[in-house]
Amino acid sequence: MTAQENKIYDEALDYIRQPSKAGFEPLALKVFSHQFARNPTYRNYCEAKGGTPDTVGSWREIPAVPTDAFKEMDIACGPPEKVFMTSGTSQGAAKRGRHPVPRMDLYRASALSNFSAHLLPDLASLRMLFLTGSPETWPHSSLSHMIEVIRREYGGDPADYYINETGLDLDRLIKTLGEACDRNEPVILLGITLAFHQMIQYALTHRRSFRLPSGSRVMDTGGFKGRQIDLSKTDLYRRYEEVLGIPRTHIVNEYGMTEMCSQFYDTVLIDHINGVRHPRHKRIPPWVRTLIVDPETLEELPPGSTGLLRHYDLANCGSVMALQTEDIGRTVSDGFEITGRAAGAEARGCSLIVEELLRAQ
Amino acid sequence: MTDRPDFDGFHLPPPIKVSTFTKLKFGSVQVRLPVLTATTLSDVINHLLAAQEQYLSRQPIENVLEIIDVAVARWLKPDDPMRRTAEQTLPEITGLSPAMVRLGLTRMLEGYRKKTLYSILDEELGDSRRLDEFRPKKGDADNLIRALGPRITTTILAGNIPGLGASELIATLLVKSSCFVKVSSDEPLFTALFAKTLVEIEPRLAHCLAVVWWPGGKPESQSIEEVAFGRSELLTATGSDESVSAVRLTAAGYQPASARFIGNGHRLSLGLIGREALDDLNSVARNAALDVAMYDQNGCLSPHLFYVETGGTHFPREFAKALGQELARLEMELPRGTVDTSTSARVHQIRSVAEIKQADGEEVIVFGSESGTLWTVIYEADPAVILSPLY
Repeated sequence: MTAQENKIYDEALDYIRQPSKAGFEPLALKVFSHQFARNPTYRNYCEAKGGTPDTVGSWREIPAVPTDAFKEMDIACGPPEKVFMTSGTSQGAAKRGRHPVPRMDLYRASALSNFSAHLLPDLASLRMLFLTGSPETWPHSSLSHMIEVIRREYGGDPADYYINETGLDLDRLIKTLGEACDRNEPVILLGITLAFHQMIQYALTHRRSFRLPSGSRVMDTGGFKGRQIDLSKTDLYRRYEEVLGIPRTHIVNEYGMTEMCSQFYDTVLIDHINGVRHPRHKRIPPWVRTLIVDPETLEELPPGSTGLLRHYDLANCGSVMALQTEDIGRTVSDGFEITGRAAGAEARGCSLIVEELLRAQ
Repeated sequence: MTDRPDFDGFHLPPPIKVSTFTKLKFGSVQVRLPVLTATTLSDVINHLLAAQEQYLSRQPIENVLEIIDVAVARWLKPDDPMRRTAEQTLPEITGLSPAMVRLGLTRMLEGYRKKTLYSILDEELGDSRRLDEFRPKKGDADNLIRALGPRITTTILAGNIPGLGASELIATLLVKSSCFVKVSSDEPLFTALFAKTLVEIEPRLAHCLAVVWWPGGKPESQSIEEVAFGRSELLTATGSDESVSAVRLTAAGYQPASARFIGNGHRLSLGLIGREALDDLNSVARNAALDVAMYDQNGCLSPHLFYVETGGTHFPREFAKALGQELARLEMELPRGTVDTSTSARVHQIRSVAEIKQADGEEVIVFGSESGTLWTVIYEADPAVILSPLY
C-alpha cells in the first residue's frame, strides 16, 4: 500500500474515532475519488452512470453499487487483509457474496465504537455469552468476526461461544444462565435471532425461566428472514422478557450485512439511560449516511416514506462506500426502522448456517 | 372512493345454504366468501356426486361442449355483464392493468371455442365420442374403448393468472366431472363469475359446480381439508412449489388410495430463436415482447430468457435491442400493473449487477426503461440462466 493510499484510510479511521458533522461530506468525496481511481470496474460503472469525481458535488450523488454485485466479483481498492463471505442458501445453489476488506482497523474501529455506544452506554461490566459460532466455526462470517473483536476488547471467555459444529449447545447455555442468576452476575447475550428463538422454545418446553440480574441485556441480529417462523418482533421480545427476565429496554437489535463494515443498532438502551422515549429504531453512526429511496425511481424520498435503504459507509473505504440494498425501511426519528428485508437476501447468512445446523440435530 | 357492493366469489349447489361469510378486500373491491364447516362441505360433495351421476354423466359430450362454447362466446363480447364485472374488478384484485386484464381474458378464452376443444379431445382420447360410449379402437373393430372421468375433480387454484379458473372448470366439465374448486385468496372472484355464466346457460349445472375458499393449510382448516381431500377422486393444485407441496403433503394424509394428485408448481419458460427467424427482426421481437409482457411476466409460459442463435442476418444483441424497443412500445398500450417494493428492488439489483459486469469488461448490455423498472432487457454472451422478475 502506498503512503498516499494509507493516507485516505488513516483519514477515514480518524474520522470514525472522532467524527465531526461538517467533516463527512469532504471526506466522503475524497473516499469516492480514491475508490474511483483504484477500482477500474467501479470507475467504468460510475462513468456509465454519469457520476464521477468531476461531476459529483455531494455524497448523495455518489453512484451506489447493488449489494448483489458482491456475488459476481471482488469489489476492492487493494489486496484484502480479510475476505468476508455470505453463507450459501439452504439450497446451496446461489452464489456467495464476497467482501474483501483491505484495512481491518477501520472495521474494528467502527464495530467497537458503535457497539459500546449502543450496548454499553452505561459502561457496564458484564459477562459475555455468544449465541454464534466462533471464528473457527464460522471462518468467513462477518458477524462472527465482529463478535470476536468485541470479545477480545472486553475480555470475554472464548469458552462462551455456544454454537459449535453440531449446533446450539443448549444444555451448557441453560446451565450458564442458571449460574449467572445464582451468582447475581449480569450478562450480555449476543447472537442470532434464530438461536435465541431456539433457546426460548427449549426453555418454554422445559418450563424453565430465568431472572437474569439487573443490567443484563441482549443483542440479537438476523431476524427470521425467509424462514417459516410467524412471530412479530414485539412477540419475540416479549418472550425474551418472559424467559430471561430482561426488559425490552435492554434488548437491542443489530442490523448489518457482509458487504458493509459498519453496523446499525436500536437506540432503546441509550434512550432508556437518557430517560427519553422513542419508537424502536436504528441510529445511523456519524460516519455513515443512509437514504431512503423510491423503489422504482431510486430517487431520495421525503422523511417518513417507506423505501429502499441506501447506505454510505466511510468504513467501507477499501471496497465501495455507496451501497444500494434491497432492504425496506422508513425514517424514524433521526434514524430508520427496517420494515422488510429482501426475501432473497442473505444478510450475513448466519441465520441459514445455523438453521442447517439446527436441522441436522 | 365510494364503497362498491360486495362481489360474491363463490358458488354453491342450490340447496346448500351458508349463513356466515368472510370478506377479502382489494382496494375498493370486496369479495364475499362463505365460511365453511366440515358438515357443509360434506353436503356439498354429496350433492356434486349425485348431480354428476344423475345429470352430468348422462349428457352427450356434444351438449357439454355447446354449453361451454356459449359461455365462452358470451365472455368474448365486450359488453357481457359478467365480463364487465371481471374487467372492473380484476385490475384492483390482481394489480394488473385494465388493458392486460382485457387482453388476458380474451386470449385465454379464445382457446376454448368448441372447435378447439373437440380437437383437444380427439387428440387426447383418440375420439371425443369415447366420452359417451364405447368406440372401436382404430384399425381394431373388436376392441372397444370408453373414457370415463373422475366423478368429482377437486381443484386448488393459484391466483397469479386471472382466468385460470375458466380453464380448470372447462377441463373438468370436458370429462363430465363435477367441479369442486378452491379459489386463491390472491384472486378469489373470477372463477365464480365464470361459473355463474355456465349456470345461466344451463341451470342444471348449478348442481355440478362448487366454488369455495378456506384459509389453506391453517390449523383451523384441518377438518375442512380432511373432507375436501379425503373425498377427492382427482386432486389438482396449481401454485408456487411451496403451496403445491403443502397441498400434496396434507392431502396425502387424507386422500383415498385410488385418488390421484396432479401438482403444477413453478414453471420456468424460455424462448429459442433460430437464426432464420431473425430475417424479420421486428416481427420476431414484437411477438417475443408480447409473450414477455403477458400477465406482467407472471405466467408459467412467460419467457424469462431467450437464447438467440448466431449466424443469422442479425446479431443476438440486435434482437435484444429490438426486444427492448418493442417492450417500450407495448408499455404504452399494455401497461405493466402495480409491483411491490421488493420486486422493484430485485429488478434494480439485477440491472445494476449487469451494468457492473459490463463495467468489468464482460459482454453484457443492459436495455431498460428510462425511469423506473417498467422493462429491462439484458443481453449476455454467457448462456447461464438468471432467474428474475424482469418486466
